[in-house]
Amino acid sequence: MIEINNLSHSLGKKTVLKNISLEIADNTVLGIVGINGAGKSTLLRLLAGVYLPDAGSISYDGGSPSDAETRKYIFFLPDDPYYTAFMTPKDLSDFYKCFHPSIDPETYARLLGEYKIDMGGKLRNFSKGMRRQVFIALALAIKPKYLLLDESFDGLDPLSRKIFKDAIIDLVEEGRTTVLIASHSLRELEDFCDRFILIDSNVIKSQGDIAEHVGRLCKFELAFTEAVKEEAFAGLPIASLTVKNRFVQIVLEGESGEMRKKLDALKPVVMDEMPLDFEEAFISDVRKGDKKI
Amino acid sequence: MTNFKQYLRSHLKANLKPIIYIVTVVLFLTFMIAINEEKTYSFGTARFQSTLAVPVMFMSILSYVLPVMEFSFFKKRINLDCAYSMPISRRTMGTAHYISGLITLFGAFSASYLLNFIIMLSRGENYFNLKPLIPHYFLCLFLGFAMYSVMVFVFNEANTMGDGIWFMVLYSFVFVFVFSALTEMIDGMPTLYLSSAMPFGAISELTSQYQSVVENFKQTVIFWNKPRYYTGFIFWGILGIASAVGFFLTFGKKRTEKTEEISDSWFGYRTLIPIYAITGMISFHDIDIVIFWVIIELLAFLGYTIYRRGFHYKKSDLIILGILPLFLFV
Repeated sequence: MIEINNLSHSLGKKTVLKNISLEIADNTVLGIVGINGAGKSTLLRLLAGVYLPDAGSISYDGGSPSDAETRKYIFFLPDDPYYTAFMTPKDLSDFYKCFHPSIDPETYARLLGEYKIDMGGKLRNFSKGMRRQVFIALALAIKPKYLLLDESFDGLDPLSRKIFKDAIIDLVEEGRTTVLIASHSLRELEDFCDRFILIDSNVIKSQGDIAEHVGRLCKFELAFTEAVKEEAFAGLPIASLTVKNRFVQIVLEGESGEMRKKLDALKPVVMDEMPLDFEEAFISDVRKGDKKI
Repeated sequence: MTNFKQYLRSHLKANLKPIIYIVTVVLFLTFMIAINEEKTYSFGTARFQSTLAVPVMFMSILSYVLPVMEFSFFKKRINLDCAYSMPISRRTMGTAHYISGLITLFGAFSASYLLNFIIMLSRGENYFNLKPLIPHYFLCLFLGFAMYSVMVFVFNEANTMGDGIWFMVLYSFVFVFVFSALTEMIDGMPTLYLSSAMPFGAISELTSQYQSVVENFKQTVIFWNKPRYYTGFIFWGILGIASAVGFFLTFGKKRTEKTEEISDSWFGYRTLIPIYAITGMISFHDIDIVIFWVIIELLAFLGYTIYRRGFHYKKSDLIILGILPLFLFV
């Protein structure tokens, strides 16, 4: 279990995270979302022991990530992982074997085979997406107890994304890995994350189960006989609102039947309930805090 | 300990090609310089020189190159994400890089020294007095360790590779300025041998003394008889040991976030620029007061511009620049 208590961190004079507290149970997949610069990568670096917190603490089953012994159970895959000029995927796995003896060469070879990566090729000659595939294969072959992933979907083609997601689901189902993944690909996160946290304005603005979070919102498209103003919707629990002349798109917080009744009172000529995904829920959450994406 | 050995082994393996290139180039150049040594004529006799300075020269160059090679990795944030999340402590990792550089330094120097020795031997039996080479070799190793350690320490006080290289250059000459200013300021202070105030100056002084014994079969090495010769050896030796200790104490405690930021260490620009400017004013003020003041002010401005990466001077910088003329009258 990961426990974060009153974690605060600044980069220079800028406060990035302030008094963050969180508990992450074992065998869960936690999605970390937020706008650019919200502090997702900083949180992952703190969790990986790359940064040491200004205040507060992080504990992995009682151990601190600043302790090398604790980091035996953690694998952090950053946005732009390091490799040396002459390194091949084989060398990379040999290098990491020093620190993670649990690495499974068969899984590594199988995943590289699925990604059609040459084990003896030079990493510097690979495209960014191919290099990412190599590191993903490595992370999955290590099968760490805690896997921290930063923007790991970037540069992956749809097939590679599917292989990656399936492998993560397998790892978690085996009951051995807790995955924390920061990403802007919210539709990808929705597919396999159990829980999420939204970081905004240095704090965790919302968190919980993705399905429940999306379920507490409902989205409607309305049409009126005459142009309407935003003020007409005052009093409703608005998560987001777009008014274009006679047409309105509105996301409301609450049960859809009840919201439908409230909207009916405004006498729209057309009212359709639309499906809502995690990305739209995220946009609503962020806009509520007067932020732009 | 296991992690240290494994990391060192894998680091050396990853750097094997550059190490082989370095040793090959050093050996090739040693061979070319030593074998093409022309006879010198003095008092009617022709002799080959010992070319002892060749391996020493490579040791001096490598003690600057290797810290950059070994530690520039730690000057890029993206590298640190992987490095510092691995299950190995930062100090252990730094130690492995330090040892790796030292192995390369000693390996290249020893190979070059041995080749030079073989070439000296090939000049004929009793052509050179070879016995003093043994102490010379070990004394050079010690000074090599000292030079390398000083450069490792100062390079790691910088937050970028560029600043690290500047620090190394500035540290190479700063003591020349300091000793020169002290000699100027303190009446009766013995004139220090300024070349020994440079790290490579101390080792070349040592070597030139041994060279005369090796070539001319003198009975004693005068190096140890005159303080002006061995002051540099002792000074750089102590500084080298202090730097190695400083490096091991501080390396693991550096904040990752500072990487690529302005290098604000007390062992860097913050202290070096005022020292250079003030000691410069004191040492050379009698040349031409106005021109010299202008030159030093301009250089100090340039230094602060490099330090701050632009024209964003701080109040403390402007105060230093403002009070500099006072030192013309010290």
